[in-house]
Amino acid sequence: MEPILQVKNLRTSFMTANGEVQAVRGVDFDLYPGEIVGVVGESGSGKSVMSMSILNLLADNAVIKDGDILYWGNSLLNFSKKEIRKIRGKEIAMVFQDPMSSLNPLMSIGKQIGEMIAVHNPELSKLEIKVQVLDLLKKVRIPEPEKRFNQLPNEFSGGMRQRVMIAIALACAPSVLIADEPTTALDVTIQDQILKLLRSLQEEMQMSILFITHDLGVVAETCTRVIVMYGGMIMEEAAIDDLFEQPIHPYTKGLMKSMPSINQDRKGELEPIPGSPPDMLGDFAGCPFAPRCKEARRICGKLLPPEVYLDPTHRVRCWLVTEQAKQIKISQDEVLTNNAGRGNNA
Amino acid sequence: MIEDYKITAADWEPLDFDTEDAEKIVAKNRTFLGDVVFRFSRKTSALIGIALIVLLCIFAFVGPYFSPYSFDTQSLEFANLPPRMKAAEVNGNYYYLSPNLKVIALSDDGVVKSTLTKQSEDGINKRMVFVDEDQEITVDYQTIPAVILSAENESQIARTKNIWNSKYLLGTDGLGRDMLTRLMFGTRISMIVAFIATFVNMTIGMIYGGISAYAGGMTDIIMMRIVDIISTIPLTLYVILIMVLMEDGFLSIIVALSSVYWVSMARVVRGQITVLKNSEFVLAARTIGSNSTTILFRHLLPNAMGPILVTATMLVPSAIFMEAFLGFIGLGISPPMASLGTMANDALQGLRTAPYQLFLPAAVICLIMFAFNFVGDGLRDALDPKMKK
Amino acid sequence: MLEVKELTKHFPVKGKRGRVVHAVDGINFKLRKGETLGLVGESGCGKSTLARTIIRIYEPTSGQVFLKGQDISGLSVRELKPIRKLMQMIFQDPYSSLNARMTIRDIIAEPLRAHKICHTKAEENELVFEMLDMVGLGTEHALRYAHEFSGGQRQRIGIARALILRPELVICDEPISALDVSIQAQIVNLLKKFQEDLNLTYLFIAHDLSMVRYVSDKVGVMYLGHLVELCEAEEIYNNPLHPYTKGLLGSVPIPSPRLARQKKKSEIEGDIPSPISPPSGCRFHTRCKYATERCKAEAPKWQEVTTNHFVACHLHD
Repeated sequence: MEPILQVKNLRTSFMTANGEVQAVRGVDFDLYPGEIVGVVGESGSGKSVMSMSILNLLADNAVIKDGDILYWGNSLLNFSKKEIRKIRGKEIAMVFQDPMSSLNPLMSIGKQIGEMIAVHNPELSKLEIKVQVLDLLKKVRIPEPEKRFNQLPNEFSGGMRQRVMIAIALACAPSVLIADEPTTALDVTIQDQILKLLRSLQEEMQMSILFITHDLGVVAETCTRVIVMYGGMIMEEAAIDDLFEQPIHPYTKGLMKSMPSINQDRKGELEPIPGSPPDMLGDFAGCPFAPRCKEARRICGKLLPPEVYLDPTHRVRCWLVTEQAKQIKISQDEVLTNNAGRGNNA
Repeated sequence: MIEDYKITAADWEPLDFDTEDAEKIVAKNRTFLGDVVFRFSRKTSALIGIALIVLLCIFAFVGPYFSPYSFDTQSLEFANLPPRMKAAEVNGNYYYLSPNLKVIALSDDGVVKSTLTKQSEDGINKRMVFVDEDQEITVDYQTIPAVILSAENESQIARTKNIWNSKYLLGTDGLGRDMLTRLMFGTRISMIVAFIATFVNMTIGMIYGGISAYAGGMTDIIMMRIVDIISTIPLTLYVILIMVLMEDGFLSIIVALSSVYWVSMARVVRGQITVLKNSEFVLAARTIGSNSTTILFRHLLPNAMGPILVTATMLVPSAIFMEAFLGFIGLGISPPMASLGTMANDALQGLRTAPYQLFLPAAVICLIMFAFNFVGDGLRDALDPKMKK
Repeated sequence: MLEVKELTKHFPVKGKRGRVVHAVDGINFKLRKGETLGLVGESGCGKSTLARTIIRIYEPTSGQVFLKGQDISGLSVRELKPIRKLMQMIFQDPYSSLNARMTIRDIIAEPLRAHKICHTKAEENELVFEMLDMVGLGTEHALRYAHEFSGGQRQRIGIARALILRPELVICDEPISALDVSIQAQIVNLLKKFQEDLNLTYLFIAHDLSMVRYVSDKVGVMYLGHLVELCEAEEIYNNPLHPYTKGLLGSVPIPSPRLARQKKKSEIEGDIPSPISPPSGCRFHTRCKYATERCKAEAPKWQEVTTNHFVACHLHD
């Protein structure tokens, strides 16, 4: 199958007062029609910048230094502003974390959704647009759409606003939806509702979703494939079950161990990852995770590890799974004994 | 890169795990002030503003020491001399004919030497004869402006040449005082008045606004209504009334200016503090048990300092303008001391014949206002937390 | 250690005379020394207001708070000052809870100065450095400003500030919700370590049921200003009684796709009603699947269903 969206060796930097912040440092991945890919990472991992780069919604001081973004094989980076505006919303739509700041507080909800349709379909009459908007409101399960149509955003609760944002994003039936932490600002019960809505809409409309989040739980419930990012790079990519059942990269493993779960009887200590996320200013010597990694080798601090494909869908960027490592034959046990007891006191 | 490096067995030793390292802060230890200075220095207009202010300060505070004149040194014979004079050449000597029909002898490099004495006047032909050492200078005032006639041929106008006034670089005023010196003193007075007034305004505004916001509730409402009432009175009128009540002078200007402009400062401070008051670090200070003074002076005001500074910088030009305005309508500094406003006022009488006397103080006022507005703009951008990252 | 009786806090609504936000309404609980009570609820349920009312940032509308048997709800600011040494708070946002214009040393030393504990600078420094070391930061960090630190480090500074007076009760107001997953566990472990070492009592507020499980001995669930369920920590996960607790547990995403697929979803529909005009009767009835006419008319009583398991629901009368 042909990928609908390809990100190739993307590098995005911010020019700041303190120097160049390399937020994304060479990211490659493909998005195929009809799948939900989760991008997981902590703050500063570059996941949001990566998604903003796709539609070129970056701040003024950001520069895409290298790489390419292909939509059905056409480079989005070569598109003019006018062309990219046509793609935005119609082909690729985005949903953001904070629904309040993305909505115009002085315009009725119906108008805001209608505007999106009108921009991309200028031939439609006002009545036709209204019919479509009401249809959309029903689709995102907003009760009493006729009444809600004329209300302003401040009359909506957080969850309802996020539904409106989804309605706006879906107004032109895009084939790719980029959801940037769409549920982070919401309560768990509301998050649950929104996730369910996204899943059923995805099935209904057969679009691809790039789902960006920091929450592994949300990924587990929503996605079919996961990309784990750290320090602006992809650390591990795998199908959903592989990643959760057999995480390979020490960072992925660390994340899982530091996550509490309400379903397992674990009353013991959590195992945190020691240290702090890396400073994205300047270059890394070696693997970005090495300073926090319990299994780190000397090589990890010196050279950037290569990407290793364990199978066609599972790739890991770690020295420990390379051919060289296998030749040296380090066993997992040895690693554990060598590192026993360290890093728990942070 | 990977190919270049020969991986050895030693590379597979566990990495020395340093907990200290994990807590290391990579970023430079840059204080808030350092950050602000850095951002400020990247804005050209702000730097121009700062440079202008520095130059004006040197002009106003250091300049007078290099001037041979004082602000009140009069030489009535050289009144109303412009910076650039139209000099008539008579037998190789230069003479400047002032609009009030005095003839002043000049050297050829523009130094005024003396005023000539009138020897005779012919009222019918409208001619005057002045004597300079051994020669006579004839002035014909039938035409306006009057002209000096050529020495050889009485029906011809003498050749003229524009010469810069090198004794009084920017000319003199109606009482023959050096404009440049008076401009220095005027700028000095205006700046001192503006700085003191701004400082007093800032202090009053910070304390008033700070207390109002920090106390909250009824106190806040009453204090802010007082501010509202004060601000409904046109401030200019109010200042004029105070000035009329008090005697003319330096102190009364400062009192007048500082009793009024704190209102806007108080509003700014109150707005800032009201927001900050509910931020978590202030709540934390309260749960710790810190007293109100600590909270107000260690937590609230330092964090509100950015907008306060911007407002203060913007207050300076308006204080200067107000001072100039007061001087202009005759309520300013008492003569013979000069301020930019009183200089402009003095210039009014001779506006037609000596427009430079008005133009010069006006230009300095403009420069000061530009400079402070540039700096204020730059400060606002530098202090804006949204500009970070 | 801490007892809260019928604690109520209403905020007046601006511009609407006589109308109030029912932020906290008649809360009762007891907390023994060395225990941790986890308080869970969605945003707007009043859990933060409850914490702030207990520590007297807000004045309670009615009800009492007893700290070590002493009623502190009516004390004046001056009378409260010695109490402050016993009771400290850790805030949610590590970015806004530290003053950006103060060095770390000054921030941590502030409680010492407020209570005039140290007489010399050297004494003060010694205590501050000891505290810094306890939270895993070094003396070299003392002269830096808060904005130079990462979120987790800042939160540790906040903990150091709260603990330097060696309080007995620490109120943690969502101390981990603003942090990254990998950092959350660091902070939780640190808090647990301090609890053992210093015999602290925690009131731990979170919106996330999963992390609460790791720190709490007891868990209370709040909804629209009311406490709806309170029991031992394991009990609430194994045997939740209130429909809201069940729904809350069901909506927590599970970080395991296999378990997530198996999970029987008990879900909650709809939004949280406005606390200005809360629903009549049981406040949850608008979203409850089991709601009856009685739930609409009559507020359920707060009762002990089994030992140490309190619930307010008509289903369990």
